[in-house]
Amino acid sequence: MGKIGSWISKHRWLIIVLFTIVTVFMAYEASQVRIIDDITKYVPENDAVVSFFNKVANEFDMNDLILIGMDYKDLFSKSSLNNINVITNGIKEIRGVKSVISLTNAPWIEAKSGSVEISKIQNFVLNGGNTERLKKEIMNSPLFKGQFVSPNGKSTLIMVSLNASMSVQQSIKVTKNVENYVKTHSLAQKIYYSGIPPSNLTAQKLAKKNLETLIPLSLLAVALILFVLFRNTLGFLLPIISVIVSSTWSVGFIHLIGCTMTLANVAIPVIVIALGNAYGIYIVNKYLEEKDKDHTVRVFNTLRDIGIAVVLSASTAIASFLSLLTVNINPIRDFGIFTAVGIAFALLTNIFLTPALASFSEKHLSSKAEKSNRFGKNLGEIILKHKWAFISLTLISIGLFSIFILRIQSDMRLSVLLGKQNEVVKSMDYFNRRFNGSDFVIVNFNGNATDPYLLRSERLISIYALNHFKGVVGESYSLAKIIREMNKKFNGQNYIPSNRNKVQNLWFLMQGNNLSQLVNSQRSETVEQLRVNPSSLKEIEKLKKSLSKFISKYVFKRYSYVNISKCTHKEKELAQESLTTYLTAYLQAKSLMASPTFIKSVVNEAINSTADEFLKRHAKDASNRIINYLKSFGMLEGISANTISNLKSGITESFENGYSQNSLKNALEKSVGLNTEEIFAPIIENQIPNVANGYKVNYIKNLLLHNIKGLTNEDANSLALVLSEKTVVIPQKNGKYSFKVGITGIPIVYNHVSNMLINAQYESMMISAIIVFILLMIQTSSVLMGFIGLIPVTLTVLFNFSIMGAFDIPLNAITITIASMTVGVGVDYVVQIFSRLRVEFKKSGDVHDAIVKSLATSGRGVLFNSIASSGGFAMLFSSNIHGLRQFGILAISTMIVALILAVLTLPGVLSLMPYSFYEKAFKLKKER
Amino acid sequence: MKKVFSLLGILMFLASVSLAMTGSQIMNEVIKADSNFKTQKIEMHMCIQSKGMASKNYDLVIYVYNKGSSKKYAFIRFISPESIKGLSFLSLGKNEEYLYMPAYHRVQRIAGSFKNSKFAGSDFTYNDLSLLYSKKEAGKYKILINNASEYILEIVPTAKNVQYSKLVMTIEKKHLLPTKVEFYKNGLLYKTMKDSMLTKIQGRWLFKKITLTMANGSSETTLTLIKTEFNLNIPLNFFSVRTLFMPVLAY
Repeated sequence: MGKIGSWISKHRWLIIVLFTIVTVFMAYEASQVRIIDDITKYVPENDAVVSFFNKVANEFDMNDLILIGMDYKDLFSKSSLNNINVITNGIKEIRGVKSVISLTNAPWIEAKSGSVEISKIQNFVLNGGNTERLKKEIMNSPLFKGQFVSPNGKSTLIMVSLNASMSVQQSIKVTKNVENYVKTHSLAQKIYYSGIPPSNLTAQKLAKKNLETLIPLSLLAVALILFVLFRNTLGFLLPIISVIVSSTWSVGFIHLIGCTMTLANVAIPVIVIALGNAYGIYIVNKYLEEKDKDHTVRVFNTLRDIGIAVVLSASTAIASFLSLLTVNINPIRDFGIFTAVGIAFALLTNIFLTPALASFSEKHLSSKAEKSNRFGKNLGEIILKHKWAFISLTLISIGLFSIFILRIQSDMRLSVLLGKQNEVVKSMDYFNRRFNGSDFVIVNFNGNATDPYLLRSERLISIYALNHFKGVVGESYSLAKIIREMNKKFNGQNYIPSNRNKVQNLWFLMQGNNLSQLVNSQRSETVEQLRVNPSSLKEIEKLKKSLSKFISKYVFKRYSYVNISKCTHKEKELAQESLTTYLTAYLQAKSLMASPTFIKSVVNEAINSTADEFLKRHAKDASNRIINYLKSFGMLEGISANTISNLKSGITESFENGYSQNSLKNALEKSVGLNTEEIFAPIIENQIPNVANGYKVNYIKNLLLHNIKGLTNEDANSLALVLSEKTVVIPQKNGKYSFKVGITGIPIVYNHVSNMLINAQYESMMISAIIVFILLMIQTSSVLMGFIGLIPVTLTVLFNFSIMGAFDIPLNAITITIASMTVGVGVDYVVQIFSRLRVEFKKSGDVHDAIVKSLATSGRGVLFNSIASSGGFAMLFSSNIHGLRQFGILAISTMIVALILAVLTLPGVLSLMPYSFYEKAFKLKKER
Repeated sequence: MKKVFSLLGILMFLASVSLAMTGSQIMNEVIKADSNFKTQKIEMHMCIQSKGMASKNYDLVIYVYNKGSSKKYAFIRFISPESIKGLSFLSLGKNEEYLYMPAYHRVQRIAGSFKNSKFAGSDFTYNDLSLLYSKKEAGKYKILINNASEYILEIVPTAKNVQYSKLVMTIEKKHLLPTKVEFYKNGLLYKTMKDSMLTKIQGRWLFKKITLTMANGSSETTLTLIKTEFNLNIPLNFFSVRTLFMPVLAY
């Protein structure tokens, strides 16, 4: 290293010019760096959980979803509705927007005075309808209340899907355009945004702002501290210049190689400043210690004596940051690489530029500094005298405090990283409060999307989720919900029919409406959107596990449909089993109880009783219903009251005698004559199954209401309709139909990535420890010295984790890096002490004396570095990113604890080793 | 020479007559030309091709009863695919339209803005269907172009619940048949209907192919005429709610 020093002295101008040119170039590159943060890009695309999410989200326009919440003074006024319509249509026209769904363009199913409409509220707005009536209907619509209108009727929600093919940067640009459009056109009192694109936009703005303020603040803090500590220009200026250069290079390098930064990576330049200044301090400190007047000799001696130690310190720090490569989370790997590169730049700068600049100075260590060396020596004496006290105190306190490690949680959510006061988090709170959720858990059904059993299972799962996870799942939106609502409006039946053609008939009417967020174009997949409040990842995990368990217990994997009036005995048994399973699952989903005996008996009754028996029992009423149905189409207009009366009695007679097509024909011929019979018979025959089944449904419904406590009228009706159907799904191993259910969503991805963190942390720490041990062993040529060096490093890491546990600081994209940084800092201090110990031991040949002198010299550098770095990290408290503030706490605690352990505990441990140990470790015999 | 002047005289008279016609009168003539029958049965194939999706194919049959140039009854039934076979639509006038769902054996009266819904997911709305059986829409008719071969009319609908701000219809003079209709929404082109494959069937000229293309390129619906018959002996009472319930049609 000494030779390098001589070369530097000779070529100092060349070095300064080269560094200046490169720094100017890198500063330009750094100014171009882009910040992009997207959780779905955190893990490799082939990761099973993320790729499943991407597949589902892309298919259903949910990958880049913007939620816009707007509070209007009077949401249902014509001007508000018109404004929502204008915004909906306007956003749709923005380039990059794939689809928009809102209160005004969602399918609106309405039944009024014997007719039905599937339209959009925007038509109502354009045609100037009655808003009071509309308000009432919307607030009673399960498809709109909670979904597009907040339950309190004051806010509305617009869902905007962006083109999935866009890059994150492009989606951020489109998001800006959307936000600008809403800002300039909305008449709403308050506007909120949520979803990945707005979060990315905010994260980008925040990161940029933090990068612009944190770097100068950290530099200023470090400079001030160094000035106070060194009290000479050289002592503070050179380390500062070195970190300005290295931090500029590290950010510039990111852009130069075509990479981007994330929110977590904002800490990189701050770390480079805080850690990199140490090398400058050591070099300057040693240069000032040199008494020679010739700058070449001073530079030669400086690099000869501590050059290796600085290289070793930087190498261990680089190695520990590179250990983050084991983490399969992209921003963390990037963090590891770019911080390591930054440290390498700091090393390069301090080995070449700092001595080159220092060589112009003729200053020597002041007498005051020498006095402080004396103070260091005295302190060293005290430490060695009370070594057991220091060692015991350290071990006991860290040992006790480490209980908190068990409380560490991992949490990768952006909301946690940004903190409660952030706009993104406030927006999420708004959606959680107003719309019972700010994110979505998506239940994906891969199979025929209009299959009745699939739809029925979809509904069952939503009932379970809504009922069992009340604080977590706020709303559900699915094709099943729409089909059920249509059936209710068209036919007065609030359930999903088993008959495939019935579902097809309903689906036919929905065609042409935008349902791209619920069903894919081939109808081979559909999703259930569960709107969730993702404030607790534990609850989301619990939700996922419970849903999976519920699905595996109650949803058939393969199945067929049978008509129970025409099926085999075996099929009838399976139908019974199927309906029992359905009823049990429904009751469980609703948290209701019924005895297995009752369930068995009601299912038995439903399967074995025919609708015709009920028709016989209710002949007169059924006849009245049919007459009223005919009247509703004006079929009885112009027919005499007498003929109508005859028609009614003819129908009644046919029912009382046991209905058959012939009996009805005869009865009608007898009562109204052949011609009239021909007109009415087809309509009446068509209506009889509906009317007859209605009585059966009513009977089953009453049975259910009497025997199941807490069952609502609507639930009883829905269940009775299912139980009374002729078509029943049966579980069959070789059944004709099947579908697969998968659960995904951004909260699930967050959970997955968070879970990956813990394991990743263990792996990276193990690797760091091994690398550190090897490097220390190489430095000291002693296995034992390697272990001794690991003690303060390990204890610092333990203490840091304890702080995280004690103060509920979660492991996330930023805090996971603290362990690597701790290892880097801890080892740096150890290496400095070891390196000086070697020099002093060689000089004096006395262990005690060497330790005391090492503390007085390197201890001073370590102390200065610790204070200066802490000052740099303290600037993170000024950040408005909560995660960075937490990182600041941890980084400062690392600096302090690593310092305490290196200065107060390590010397005591070292003093326990005999002379022969050092003689062997430092190869003194050989050298002598 | 006399013959030449006589011919010129006739041509000038015809030209002045045609120039004197209003847009509404031209439309009446178009409907009149396409209404010289009592009943019509049309078998059609409908293909809907949406961007990035597999095409959807339907077969349907349309029955039309001409009650006079101002009033027509229509009955539309889907023949395939199997899942919606029997689904039927009956129009007995603007305020009397019904939809029959065979799986439910139920008839629903449809009203209001439902008529602006897409018919079977096609680019036609229930309202647009009237174009298939030549019904005159209430509106303001204005002649935009009147040249040797065609009229171009601008139609501004005045009826309630019509979503279009205007229609621009090109009518070829020779057969008085519309060749193109442009539908505008809020002043912007929304979709275009083009007729092609002019054919003479049972002494009547008609187009065998109708293509409706969305202006944004999202989808295209093609109706292909398979077969048509005129003046079948279909009674007026066939066009009733009762027929909707009939699984098999007599005609």
